[in-house]
Amino acid sequence: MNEYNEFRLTLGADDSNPGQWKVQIIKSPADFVIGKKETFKPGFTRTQLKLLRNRNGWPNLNELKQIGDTVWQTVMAGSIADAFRLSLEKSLKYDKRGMRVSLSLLSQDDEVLADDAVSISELPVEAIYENKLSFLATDIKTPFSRGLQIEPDIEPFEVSLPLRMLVVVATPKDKPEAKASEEVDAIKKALGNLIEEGGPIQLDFCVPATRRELSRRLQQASPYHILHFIGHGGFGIVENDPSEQPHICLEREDTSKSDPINSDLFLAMLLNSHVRLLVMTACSSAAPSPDKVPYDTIAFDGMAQRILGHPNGKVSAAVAMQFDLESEAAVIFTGSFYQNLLNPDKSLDEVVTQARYEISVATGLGPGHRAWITPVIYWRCKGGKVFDIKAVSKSNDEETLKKLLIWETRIEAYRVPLERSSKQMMNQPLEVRQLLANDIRYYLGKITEAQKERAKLLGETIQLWGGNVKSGQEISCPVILRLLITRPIDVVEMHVQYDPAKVSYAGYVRGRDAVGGDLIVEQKPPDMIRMFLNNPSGGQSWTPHKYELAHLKFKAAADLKPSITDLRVKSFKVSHNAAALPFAALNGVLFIEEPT
Amino acid sequence: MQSIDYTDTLWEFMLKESDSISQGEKPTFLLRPGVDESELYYGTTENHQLKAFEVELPVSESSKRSSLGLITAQQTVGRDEARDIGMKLWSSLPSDIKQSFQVSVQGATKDQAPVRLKICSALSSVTDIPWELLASETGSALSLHPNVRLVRTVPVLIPPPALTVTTPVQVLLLVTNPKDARLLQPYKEIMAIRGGLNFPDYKLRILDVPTLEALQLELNNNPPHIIHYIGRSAVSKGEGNIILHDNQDRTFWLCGSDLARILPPSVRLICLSACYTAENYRAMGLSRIAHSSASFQLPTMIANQYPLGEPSIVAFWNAFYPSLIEHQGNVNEAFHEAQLAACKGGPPDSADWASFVLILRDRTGKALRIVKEETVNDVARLAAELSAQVATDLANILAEQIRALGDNVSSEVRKLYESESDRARWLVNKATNIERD
Repeated sequence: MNEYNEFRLTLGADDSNPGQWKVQIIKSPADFVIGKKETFKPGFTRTQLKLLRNRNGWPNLNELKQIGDTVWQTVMAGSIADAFRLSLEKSLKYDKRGMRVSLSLLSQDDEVLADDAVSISELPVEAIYENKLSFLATDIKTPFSRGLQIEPDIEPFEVSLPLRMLVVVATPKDKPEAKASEEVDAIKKALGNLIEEGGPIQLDFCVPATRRELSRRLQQASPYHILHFIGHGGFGIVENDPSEQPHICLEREDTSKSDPINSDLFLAMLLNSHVRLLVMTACSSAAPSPDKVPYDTIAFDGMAQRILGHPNGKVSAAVAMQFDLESEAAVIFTGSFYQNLLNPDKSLDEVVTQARYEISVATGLGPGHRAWITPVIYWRCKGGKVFDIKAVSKSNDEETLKKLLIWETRIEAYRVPLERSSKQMMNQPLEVRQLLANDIRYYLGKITEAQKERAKLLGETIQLWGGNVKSGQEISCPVILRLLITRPIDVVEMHVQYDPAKVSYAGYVRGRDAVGGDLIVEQKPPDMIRMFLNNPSGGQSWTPHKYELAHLKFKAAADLKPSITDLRVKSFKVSHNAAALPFAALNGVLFIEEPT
Repeated sequence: MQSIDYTDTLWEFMLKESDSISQGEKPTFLLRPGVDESELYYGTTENHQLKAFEVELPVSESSKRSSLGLITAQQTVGRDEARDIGMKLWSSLPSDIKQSFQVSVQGATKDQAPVRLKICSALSSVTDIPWELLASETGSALSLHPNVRLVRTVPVLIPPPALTVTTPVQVLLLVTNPKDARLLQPYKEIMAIRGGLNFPDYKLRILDVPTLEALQLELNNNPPHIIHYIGRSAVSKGEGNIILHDNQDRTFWLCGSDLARILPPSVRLICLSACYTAENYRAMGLSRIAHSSASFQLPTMIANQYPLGEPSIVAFWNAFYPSLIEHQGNVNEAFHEAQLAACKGGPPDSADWASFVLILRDRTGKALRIVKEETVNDVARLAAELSAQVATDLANILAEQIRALGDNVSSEVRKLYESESDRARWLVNKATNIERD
């Protein structure tokens, strides 16, 4: 876990000097710099902003550095720069900690801008560059983030996995053409194994992307924790309000054309929901909208600010894109973002910084690509944590125990017909056996389904997989560790009991994911195997995924009739820093078929 | 021979819920009359609306604890005693029920729609009662009435389809004689039941060394349709046990649940015969096994409920097996005819004939469909019958769980039950249609 000091600044317009901004240090590890402030005329220009927004060739590395340096001159104006350097030096050298930089934006964006000037929220803080320190926002030691309050004020939301995520892909007919299915595929690809059955994220799509359906979904009994909007933003007149305002475009039920939802309506929808994290990205499959001012994606930024700024709002973090994000970068960002979001040891600014870093080092994006600057995060959650994630369901609560019992009962119930079907196959003609094989598949399928449901309730598990093996032949049974949150694993130890009348132990091989440490598998006659794996994650944190630790091989006895047999995990330990982690174990089931 | 349908009447006996019994007190029972087993299950009918009558059954005062029932298992029963018991039982029943039953019997005509009276209870104090002796005011036993088939039933929700068997029917005979008990005379025991098992209708195998392992091996290698056990029985913790041999030829007890675990699905009838050449431990154990919980997949059984002599045994089994072939596997009819034969062929002063109890565990008593010639659909039909049997087993287990849990059952279990019972019915229907083809 990275530990951080905090360097917090407020940045706002200087009301007494139009066109000037003021910056003040309100928190620093170096106490004596707190309170320092500067008033200045911002040097960052709209021309530079246009260069960043340019879709027909983004700035090269030197241009990016120049832009970043201007941001530095703006945010770290005058004496603030030295205060920052001192604070950083203290953090890194003496406190041995990182230093998060939090920027509270206090301005209202209704200021009248001079030619070539930008508003405070338009300042691409994330591009900040200093000659010696390089780009700060991709460095995990100095994560950058934005806020709208002087101090974070919302406690992390306690939630048991899975996180429930609703994705709205809105592709109105009157907007640049976008393919909803490609958007859906992109987000599924980005989320990868996180959304597989029993995974840490439950993904739903809001179809159709209309205001009625979105409203219904946000108020349904099973609450959503994350809302990810993919679509078009805009500025314009919405309903009866004559002033132009930022909005997102849903689809009308009747015509499938744009149905603009302004920030107030969107806020009202969210206030009546359990959504705590809002993510807004433009359609990656859409043709770019005309290069105009105001730029469409700014609408997302405006929406995010409105929603995060509400005094009684529940949404404690919003991620919006300040420029178009190409689809390849969007996939990298989304995958990294959600995977690290599940790490209970990581704060939100670390999560975003990690995602920026991954975009910046990804191949194929080209030198000087500014994609990593694009994501903007606003947050007001204490400790930088939107969620207080419980990896394991509350297995002690009555409801979960009841559900577990239901699935266990179901497994036991289906074992009976499975065993009877396999008995029935004995001594029957081949044609009958072939027909009865369908029954075996049916009952095995039901057992597998129930095991999956049980695994979901159990949370993080160590599982020994079974399968079909012919009498007299060998089967390799993978030992799988299923992680729902990111963490290092120091030790895995398990004892497996088998029926020596039906199978014998036949050796082991190391699993593809067990990169570090020693693997010892020893037989404990007459019917037990002990597996010990030291430091399987090689000292690194493992992200939520299924990890193959080893394969245990068993040989089915010769001339066995069709039957099933259990590989029972009798005891096990999964630990980190010598502390046992709250894992559950799942047994394997072998179906022994007759020899061909 | 034409298939026989029955007019079913089911008497379910329960303990009165509010009845707390202290030592020495007699329990109060409730008798709930119904039509058939389906009324006992969730979703099949409004069984709770059926009227229940309080009855005072002539069980022994210690029945709550020992569940021994009306008569001790060590004694044979004389004919006069039997008549008294039967009439006493009859007089304990509510007059509404008796009247209704008598009307049904009078309405029935022999061989067309006999009345099948099914006695049903989860209480061993009820199932230990020799209901077969039930006699009307005149003293005539109802079991022997031409229009009545008196059976017990361990209810199942969905009857499995009959297994079509082309003769010879495979019978496995077990005679157990462990050396640490008084020795039987195996040859005499075998000969007493052997007369009706004639080739080509039956093919008999005898298990020489009846250990559990040998029995399992035999059942796996040569799955029979009928198992006929001859030997002692015992009662342990209220459960019935049959006696096998251990590896040193000493006594090895096997209870109903363990027996269910080793049975292949081909076994559709188990006959549990009390030995007569040596004293039994407790003959009631045979009947207790046959009344084991419906959650164990045991087939329909015939058992002895009290000791009896050789002539009755010979008469019963000599009649039973040929009749089973004649009635194409209908155990109700074969059993009834065998009872009559035992009554006629047994000693005139005994009620040995009523020692035989038929316990339906498939609802119909027609779990075998015996044919003499193969048909073209044999493979498809056999697969369909076997498949449906396993599916009905599963549905019946789930139905039993729901019955046990009552209102506490979760909607998920109900959903599972509903989907699996639908599937079972569909498979039964499919198997039955193939039979008809």
